[in-house]
Amino acid sequence: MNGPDPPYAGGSGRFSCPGRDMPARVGTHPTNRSPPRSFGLRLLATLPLGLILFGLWLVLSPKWDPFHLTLGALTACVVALLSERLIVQPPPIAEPDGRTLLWMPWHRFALYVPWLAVRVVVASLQVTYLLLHPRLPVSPRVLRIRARYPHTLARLTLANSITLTPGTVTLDVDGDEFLVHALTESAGHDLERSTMPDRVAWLYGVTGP
Amino acid sequence: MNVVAGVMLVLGFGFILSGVIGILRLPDFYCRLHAMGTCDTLGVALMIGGLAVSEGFTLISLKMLLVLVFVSLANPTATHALGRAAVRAGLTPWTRTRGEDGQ
Repeated sequence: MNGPDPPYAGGSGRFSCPGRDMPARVGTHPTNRSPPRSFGLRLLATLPLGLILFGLWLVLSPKWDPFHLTLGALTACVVALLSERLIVQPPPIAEPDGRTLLWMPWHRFALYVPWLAVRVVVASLQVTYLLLHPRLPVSPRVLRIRARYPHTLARLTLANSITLTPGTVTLDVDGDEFLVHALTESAGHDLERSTMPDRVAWLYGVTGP
Repeated sequence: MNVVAGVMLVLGFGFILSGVIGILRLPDFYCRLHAMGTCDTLGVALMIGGLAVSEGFTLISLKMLLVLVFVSLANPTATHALGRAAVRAGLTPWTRTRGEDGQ
């Protein structure tokens, strides 16, 4: 995560799977890099991260006396400041207009996560049926999904959501393209017709694929 | 409460067992990734959920839910890393029409 360009970006086609009749590749998404922001703004954006880390400390440490609380607050501050450049600075996972992701619509997760959980349960039951079926009726295929997002975190969310849903695994991401392995033809069709890419776009309040 | 927790634990165990059976039965590496994904997502979620229910709402059950969150973030990442490594190494996916050797 130390640069905007993954080594395979730019259409070198390194993830071509030998011998498969896959759809042709299309263009990749241009990488955006916004100008660096002031120290004060970065500090302000680090504050929520520190609060989250301190909350984590409170849950994990059962000793809530002044000494351990101070220790936790100091640790949270240090970790937040050290990891600030991973989260707040533009290149890796921030939006191109310079807003940090800590200001994104977090409340939408409350709707996205249950939707994804239902999808995971339904797909789990389907895959379990396949695995226990005497004839093992799997028909694996590889497919490409296109989804255009302005930042990496949305791509990461879509790739992780696809993998989390049983029956589909994201094998590689190259710009806008997601290389997906599906356990059955119908799992692949379901994903191609799925509203998941649009929901991820809505989750981050960005323009969709 | 104990009944709910027991049912969740048994269901979780069932999903993990079916995942293990899937790993043994499926034809190639990529398909086995799916079997692993199943047992890790729903099976582990049900087992941790069952343990949290039997524990009641305490700091310990909150920690278990945190484990659940981290597993559901780390598991797809690890699955993806394995799958991508296989693609990079040039492993051809098995298909029903091409036969057992994938060629």
